[in-house]
Amino acid sequence: MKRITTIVITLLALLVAYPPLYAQQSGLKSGKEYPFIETRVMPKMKKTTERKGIMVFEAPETLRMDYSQPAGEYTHISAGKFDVCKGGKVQHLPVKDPKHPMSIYRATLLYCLGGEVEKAAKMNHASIDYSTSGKTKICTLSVEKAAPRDIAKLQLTYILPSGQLKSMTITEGNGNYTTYTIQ
Amino acid sequence: MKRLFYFFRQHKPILLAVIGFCVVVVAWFSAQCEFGENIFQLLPETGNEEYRVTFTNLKLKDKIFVQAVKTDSNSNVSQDQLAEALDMFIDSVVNVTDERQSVEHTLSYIDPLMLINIADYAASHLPAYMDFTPKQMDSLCSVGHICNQLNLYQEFLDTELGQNFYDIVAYDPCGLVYDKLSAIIPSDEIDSKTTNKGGLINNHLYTADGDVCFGFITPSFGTDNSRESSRLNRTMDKIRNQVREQYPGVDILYHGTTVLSGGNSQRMHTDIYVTVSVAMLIILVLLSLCLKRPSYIVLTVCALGFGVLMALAVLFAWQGGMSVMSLGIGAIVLGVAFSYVLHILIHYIYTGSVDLTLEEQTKPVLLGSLTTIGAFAGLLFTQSQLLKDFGFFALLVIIGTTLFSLIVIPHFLPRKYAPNKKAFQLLEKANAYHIERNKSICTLTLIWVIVCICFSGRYTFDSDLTHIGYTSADCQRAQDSWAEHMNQGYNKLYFASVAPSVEEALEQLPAIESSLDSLNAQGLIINGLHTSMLLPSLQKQKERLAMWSNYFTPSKQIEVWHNIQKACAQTGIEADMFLPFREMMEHPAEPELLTDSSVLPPEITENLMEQTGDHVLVYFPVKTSYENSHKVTDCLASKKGCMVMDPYYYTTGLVELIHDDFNLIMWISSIFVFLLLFVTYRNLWLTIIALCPMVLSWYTVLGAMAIFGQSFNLVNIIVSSFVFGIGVDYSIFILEGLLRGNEDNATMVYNKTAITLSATILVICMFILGFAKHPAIQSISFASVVGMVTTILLSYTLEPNLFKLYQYIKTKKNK
Repeated sequence: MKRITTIVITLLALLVAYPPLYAQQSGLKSGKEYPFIETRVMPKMKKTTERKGIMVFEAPETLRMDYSQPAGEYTHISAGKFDVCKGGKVQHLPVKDPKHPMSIYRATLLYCLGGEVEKAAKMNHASIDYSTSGKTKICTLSVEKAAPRDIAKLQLTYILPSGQLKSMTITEGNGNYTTYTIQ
Repeated sequence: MKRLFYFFRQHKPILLAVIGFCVVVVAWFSAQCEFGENIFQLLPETGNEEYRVTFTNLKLKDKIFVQAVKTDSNSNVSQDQLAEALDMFIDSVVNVTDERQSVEHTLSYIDPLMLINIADYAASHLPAYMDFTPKQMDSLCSVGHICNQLNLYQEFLDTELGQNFYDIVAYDPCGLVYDKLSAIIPSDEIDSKTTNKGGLINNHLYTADGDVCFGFITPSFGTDNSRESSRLNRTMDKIRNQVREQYPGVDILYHGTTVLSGGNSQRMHTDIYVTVSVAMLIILVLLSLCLKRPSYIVLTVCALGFGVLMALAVLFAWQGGMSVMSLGIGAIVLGVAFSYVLHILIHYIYTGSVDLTLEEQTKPVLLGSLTTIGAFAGLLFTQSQLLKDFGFFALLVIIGTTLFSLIVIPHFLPRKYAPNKKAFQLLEKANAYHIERNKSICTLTLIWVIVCICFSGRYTFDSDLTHIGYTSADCQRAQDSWAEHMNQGYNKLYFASVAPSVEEALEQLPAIESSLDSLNAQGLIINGLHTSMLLPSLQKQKERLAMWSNYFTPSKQIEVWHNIQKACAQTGIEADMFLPFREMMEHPAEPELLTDSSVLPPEITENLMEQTGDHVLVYFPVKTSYENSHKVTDCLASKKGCMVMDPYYYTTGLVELIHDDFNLIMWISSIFVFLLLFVTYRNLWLTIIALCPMVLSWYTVLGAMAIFGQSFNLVNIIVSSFVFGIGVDYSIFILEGLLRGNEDNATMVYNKTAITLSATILVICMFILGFAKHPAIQSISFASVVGMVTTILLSYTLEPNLFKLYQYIKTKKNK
């Protein structure tokens, strides 16, 4: 009896000491609206561009990012579609071929926002690394050899203990990166 | 022939065995006969002797140009809807034809990544694409210029397009690419891309005015395969209707050589079915009325059928098959062959005696068939495979039908016959009238012939083969729309630099394109695209790389990098961004052809370069007005290594040669017929009398064509053989009748009955051809009808009078 009690207390202590063990990362809740800020940075050009909007994710493959700043622009993902409206022009990006970079990018967004990080890593042939920093858990997907415009690194930050996704940073092979901060 | 008849009459089983064997053999072989639908068989061998490139193997000419257009220019159909309709059409065509794999590839959607990859390639291979002087480069690599360029980039990279070109900018701090861009792409094409109306919108291609969304389909077969072309046409027609239903304000237009080929084939098949069906119906009705007994009709059909099968069987054994176009035109020969059968039958109907029929008809039928064979045999010496096929087919049909008529039919003639005396009475009544005694008719006929002969030297020969091709209304509409929207009413011509190897073709291309500059200076062309800028030869690239390396010495590299760093410091950009350029200064990319890189998909590279047989063709288009097209074409065609991508351009001269050949062939045929008649009649005057209707009617046809503004072409020139054949046949039978006594002798009555019936049927059949929609088939009608009618008139009027004159002179001499 005494032994069993000791084991249970030890386990509880571990759980308390290591919250990351039980706080799994989760994606966005399906159907809920999330205000977000998109920050695009070109470090070498010392350029930063910011956009704001509302993001809605619906499992398994619907994502709407409607921007209020600048108004009218959007990124819409649905079954077999990946549409981007920017500068008044709508682009229907090619996603028929699953190996096309746009298809991979689309799928990566959906997986990451949906909480399926492992699938995103597998799709991009990336390694996964977890770390904690204060009350956040950071999941980093690193691609060994990425072309300049392909995804080189994905960094997902989750709030502990809930595991709620806080931000997502996509870094390209050329060093430029885009951060989506969920508010 | 009588001996043969008696032999088989006494040995009927042998006859039946021989007939059965022959029928089985010819039927089996003819079933193997392949019918080529290669419309280019009409053409003589392509005349560019230096290269002997066969157009049938080139993919460029096979492309189908597809357009999605608004049905009403004022409608509010959006550009996106045009794109959706186009995608639906092209995707459906691919899916439906997937099993047959009729489509090799399509181009309607431009992958945005492809454009970026092309720009990336161009930037990373820049040293191989640019010519410069050290002074120019010094200016471009100066701190001031780099600063200006970086400031431009600061603005450019704020745009959506700019952000996609971040990595390309890294190769070009000095702005070298932009400087060269306008040299590669003419300004009007740059303008069209930068307008909001047309160009590349949402990854689809639009004309400059933005009203037409277009794409391309490349079939997996060549346009020589008219059967597949017409099948694909039918598929596209169905799918177009589906698209129209789904997108009511949108129409799909398509054109191209494949569509034309298929359209030609479909039109020809329809015309042949219709004209032959109507002709057969008329023949059957007339024969039923005149001959009454079904057995006669069956015998006629059997004789003609045997002739056709035998012809096909021999053609298969000799050359594997024939052109379906020859078969279609060859249908007119059936009319000639039919007349021999008719002579046998009518003579038997009159006399009831096989012996008498054979005795009196064998010689004229054989003679007639031999002379007709001689007339068609001349076609074997032309340079057009189609005409050779037709000539061979024609003479074989006549041989087969004649042999069947003389050897087989006599054994199956009904013992108890019941001729339709009324029908024959009508014909006899008409023939009993001595038209040769009617001075008015004789005079009018003579005047008509003389007038035509006077004009005979003025006939024209249309050597433009496009005039005997058929273009459907839909195809014409598509072509017009393309010319209006795509080429702004100009004519876009395609040329190629041709050589045994890629390097040679690219090496000689700049020299050819230098002509474009002079033509542009004269205002004859609208700024042709310089393919040599996109595809410099490897040798040229090496020279440029050497120039690059000579300029960017180690010390120069340091200097330029130092300038970049300074400029970056001034503009707030990190110099490391331009490390790719630094690398390129020291180690420029190795020479490589754009078409060898994986940047361009095959559906685009084949528009630039193609390999066929032992030759490589590098294409370049030129835009000019329709009035200047010939001048521009002649100018460029005269350049060494330059080829006009229009098979008709080279054949026009050769068609003229074929025309000249024809005159020679006609003379040869005439001499052959003359000799044959002379050997038969052993009398020069009788030979001339027999020849007169044939010769005079041919010159009458020539004159009539000139008077009525009709032209000869490569197809209806065969009418010459037809008129010769029929002309000499009728005159032989009339002469045969005249030689047997007075004008009302029995033989003359029988022959005239057969001639009148045969001529009536033939004239009706030839007349019906005039209702065909295919220009080639339609063009046969006028000359044939004029030839037929003149031949009959001359045989009935001139020949008896000449014979009378001959007899009168002979009698006077004897006295």
